[in-house]
Amino acid sequence: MYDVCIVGSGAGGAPIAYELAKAGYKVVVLEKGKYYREPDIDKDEIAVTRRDKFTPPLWEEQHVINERDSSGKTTRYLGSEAGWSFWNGSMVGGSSNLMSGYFHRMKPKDFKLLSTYGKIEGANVVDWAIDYEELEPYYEKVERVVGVSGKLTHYKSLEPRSTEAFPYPKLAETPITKDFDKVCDALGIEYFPTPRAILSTPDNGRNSCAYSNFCGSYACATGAKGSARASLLQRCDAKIITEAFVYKLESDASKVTKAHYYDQEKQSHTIEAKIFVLSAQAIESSRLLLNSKNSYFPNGLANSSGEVGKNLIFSAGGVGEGRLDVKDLEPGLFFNRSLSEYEFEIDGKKYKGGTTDFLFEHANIITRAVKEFYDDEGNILWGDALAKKMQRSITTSRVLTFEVFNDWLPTDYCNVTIDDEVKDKYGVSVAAINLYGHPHDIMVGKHLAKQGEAILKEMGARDISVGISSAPPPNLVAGGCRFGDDPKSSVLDRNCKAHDLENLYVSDASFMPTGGSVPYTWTIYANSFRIADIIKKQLI
Amino acid sequence: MKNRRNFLLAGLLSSAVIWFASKEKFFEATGTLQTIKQMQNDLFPQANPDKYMLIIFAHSRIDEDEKTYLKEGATWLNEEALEMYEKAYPSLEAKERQRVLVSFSSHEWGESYIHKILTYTMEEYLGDPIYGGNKNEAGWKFLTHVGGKPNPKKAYL
Repeated sequence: MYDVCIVGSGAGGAPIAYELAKAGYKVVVLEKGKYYREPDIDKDEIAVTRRDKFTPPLWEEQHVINERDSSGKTTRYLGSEAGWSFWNGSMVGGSSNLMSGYFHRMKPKDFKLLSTYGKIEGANVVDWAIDYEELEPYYEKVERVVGVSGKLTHYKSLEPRSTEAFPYPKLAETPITKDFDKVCDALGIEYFPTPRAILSTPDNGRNSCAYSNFCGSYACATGAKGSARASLLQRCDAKIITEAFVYKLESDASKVTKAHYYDQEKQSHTIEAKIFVLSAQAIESSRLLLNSKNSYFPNGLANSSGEVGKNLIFSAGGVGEGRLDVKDLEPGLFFNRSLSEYEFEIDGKKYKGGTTDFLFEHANIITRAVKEFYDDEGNILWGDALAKKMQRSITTSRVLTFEVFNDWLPTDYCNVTIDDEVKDKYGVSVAAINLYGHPHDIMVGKHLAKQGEAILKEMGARDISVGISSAPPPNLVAGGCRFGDDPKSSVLDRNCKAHDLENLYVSDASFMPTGGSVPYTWTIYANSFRIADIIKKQLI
Repeated sequence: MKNRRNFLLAGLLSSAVIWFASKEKFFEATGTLQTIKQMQNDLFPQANPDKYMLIIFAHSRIDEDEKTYLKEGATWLNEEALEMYEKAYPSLEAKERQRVLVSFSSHEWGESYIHKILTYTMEEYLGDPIYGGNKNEAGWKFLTHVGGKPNPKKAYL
């Protein structure tokens, strides 16, 4: 019998494994994917970006996507047929291995969106069950334990902090950022250096960044990136069982009793523990609860409220880019600039805004070459004409990209259910992702993108394009198991323990009723450290 | 997707008629791999395309639909060549093959297929040398690109 069994080894599960194992408890982590340690990690563009090495083949495991458009019409897509993947990283450490590590905290007002900005028609916005002050010590802990580097500047919407500076100095920056800073100053746009979950100096047995130029989408070969694996799991003695797909949590009326999982040969195994933690990433956590229905919980485990799977959110916004004519840039140095237009006003009404991160287009040379296949008139090129265009474009210019993050409003139409027909390779029913983007999200995204576009123009970029849409970024997903004080309208209590069960916690982004307007990883880590302290008290 | 599938199926049927009407020798000379390799050489000779498409046809992460599409497209290209010059694509002179490619690219499906083959050609030319292409990092040197380090110790198949 284990003290704690954790389903999923990413940013939601690993802090609990780390804290509880270090406190002497017997911890087991069940991870669907394989274990890639630093010596196993390479920068193989073909494997990682063309053949999707770190996610399952869609013909083996997929989702059904029911997309609702603005007219209310729903279209059903099979992930395998549409080539539409919602997997992010099936491996020890989960998708935190593959993140770029743009780390922002949520702001105090993000915990009180409803009471600050009021109701929005058609959206299920609520205040959080906890406030920023309760999470702040854990945000700070993540800075030290997972590792956040950066240079703190006191921009207008900077959140209150208990420490003066980041524990690691900022990473080396490309000289082009000086042009960016000048342009922002001239335009009167406030910017700040982007904090990153990447070590700029070696610490805790981890190397510092090698500036390999292959960061986002790739696992880190030096251990500098603050993945759940490098920063936590490799530094504790929690037992990790890999290639273990948990298909059912068994319970009685008040407790989870067993986790059932399949190994690679589809042999079934069970794990017993005093406490179970679910952290399989938002969509799969809801799926497992719904698939674990039993006589005590006929609508799904921990689902007496009927709220499991509801109010799924992504990150709204989109991307913009422009091409800068620059030569001989030293590869690997970071751009690391962000904007925070947290609040804006139209006709006297205040709106919640969001965050914009700037970065150079990823190094992936195959992708960049493929982008050159057409001439300005849209004709496909080949032979010498293609070779010349490709060489000229790639050696004399660089695409500067920006990513806009704003709240994806929770609605009645965006949620996780179980599909009636489709099963995965284990014979388990797959999740249906019911998708809908609220029009408000697009309005805010377009507003935020104006600043990014203005900066690109002023920097002299050409071929500028901006795409703000309701397309859901699969790697920025949250919700489905809201936390709250009312058991009728939430799945989890303020401690992220299921209202219905004494020993089940959900510790990925599922608990979030609203997402803030930043990537989720820092908040997931921080909340997981918070839950670890709560579980420690329960185990005493 | 459905439309493309139906179209593929239609393509398969019409090409079957042509194959059956042709001589056995002709069939042998216009195998899928030979056609694709010739096409790669005509589209981007400096990549020195070699055996990469063999990897693709055997790859654990390339689905059957994609492999079928790759075969079908080669058939379409040969049909285009047959229509224009009454010969299979690989049997044509270089200039004739370029004219076939120009004509082929004027159809939406022809253009898509060229895009597909060019994409795999770029994988061979610009992927890590462990996959057999990009000899002496020639592709990376051409674009002054510094490849990913650490390099893979084995190809992902």
